[in-house]
Amino acid sequence: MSSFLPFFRAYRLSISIILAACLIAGTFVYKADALTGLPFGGLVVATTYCTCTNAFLLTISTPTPGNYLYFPGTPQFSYYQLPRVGVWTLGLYAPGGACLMFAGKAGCVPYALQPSGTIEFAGTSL
Amino acid sequence: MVTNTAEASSVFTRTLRLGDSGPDVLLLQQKLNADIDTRVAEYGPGSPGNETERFGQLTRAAVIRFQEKYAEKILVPIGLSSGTGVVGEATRRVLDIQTSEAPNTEPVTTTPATPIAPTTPAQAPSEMPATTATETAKKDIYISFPSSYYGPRGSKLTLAGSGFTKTKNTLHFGQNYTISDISSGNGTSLTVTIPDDAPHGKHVIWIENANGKSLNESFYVVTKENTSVPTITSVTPESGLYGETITVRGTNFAPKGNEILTNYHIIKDVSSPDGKTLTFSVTPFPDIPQLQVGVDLKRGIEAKMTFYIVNENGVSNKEKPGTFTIKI
Repeated sequence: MSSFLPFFRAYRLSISIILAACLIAGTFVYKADALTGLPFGGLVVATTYCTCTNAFLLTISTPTPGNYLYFPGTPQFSYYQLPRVGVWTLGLYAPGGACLMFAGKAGCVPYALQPSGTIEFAGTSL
Repeated sequence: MVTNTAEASSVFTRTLRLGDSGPDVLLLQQKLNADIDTRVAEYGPGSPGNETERFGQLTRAAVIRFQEKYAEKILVPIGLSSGTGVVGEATRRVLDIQTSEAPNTEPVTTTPATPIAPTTPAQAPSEMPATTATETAKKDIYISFPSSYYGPRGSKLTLAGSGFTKTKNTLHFGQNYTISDISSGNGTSLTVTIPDDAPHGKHVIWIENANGKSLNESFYVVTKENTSVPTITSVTPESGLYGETITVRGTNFAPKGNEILTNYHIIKDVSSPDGKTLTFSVTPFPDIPQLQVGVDLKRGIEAKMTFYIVNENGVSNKEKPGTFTIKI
């Protein structure tokens, strides 16, 4: 948690804007109980396409390292560069989600890496 | 059957971590795959018979499972309770022991002739990922968001990131130009004025200070005075398959050396003889093995590609990227 504080301080303005946008968007789009957004951010170091889920599993570095599920069509802010490897991203996610892969006759099976959560929206660097 | 370290000659001679590559990474994956509990992947790259020389996230996750399976031998002696994903000395020694083990056997229960892990704290960092080790030593340096990606000499550029030192940060513009002695009051941002002698054009930028070199790079275009940034006015067609030739119309494209930054990959050295039209082809995304030509997805998918034009004149409009839908 302590490593997250400098991150929050550095991006408090961006996070505040995103949170405000989330609240505004949530007023129109989401039910109140769906506002589960937790901040995340870091460098996208790997991207895996979950063939059954039709979503991308993004592996992100510090300050909030982990795997996050990104569905095509999820709201993005400029520079709209998800899921490219090498960009910095910052946004909100909701816990939950699964990365499933086609595995022949076995059908859809869980991928070896599973997400910390599902991205609700995010901005990126170029 | 348990062998001790005297019988097992080490085949790993260096610390392995995320991002490393080489034959020893392939061997590491083979060893991890010998045990179903620490298998790198069930199928695809990294799976048994498909081991690679790349130490990626799957390998890191498998190493963590391995370290936690043999925690008593690897982690406990150096005061750790969870795996780090870094293959240091203690992990290497246990890997060597496992060479003669049958798959999915119980953890080693005998004490090797040579201690598996040193008990002195000084050895601990070799098993720790950089992000942990640096909490008490050097910090990782990252550049996250530049305030702008282009501007003429005299422009102010603020870099947000982490690991900046209070003084003596150096900003590199490519290999041949630097701005030195930059201060950062909070360690997470620094601001410079682009000097009057900064070379024009697009430069890869990175930070260097007492913590080392930044782990990622960004870029900045030093534009000439009174230039106009590239603009995108149309993209045709709007959708297509891999190999489709896309025509972009707009203004202020460079005769050569345009870069197209898409949300899947970067296309370099695109020319535009008339400055108003450029064309490029959509190729499979190199960083996403699941979306290559011939991969059976069981169904078609549509991926929206969003892109910007970058050249000596700057970057196309932040809020008006070009778009194209790829049908795979």
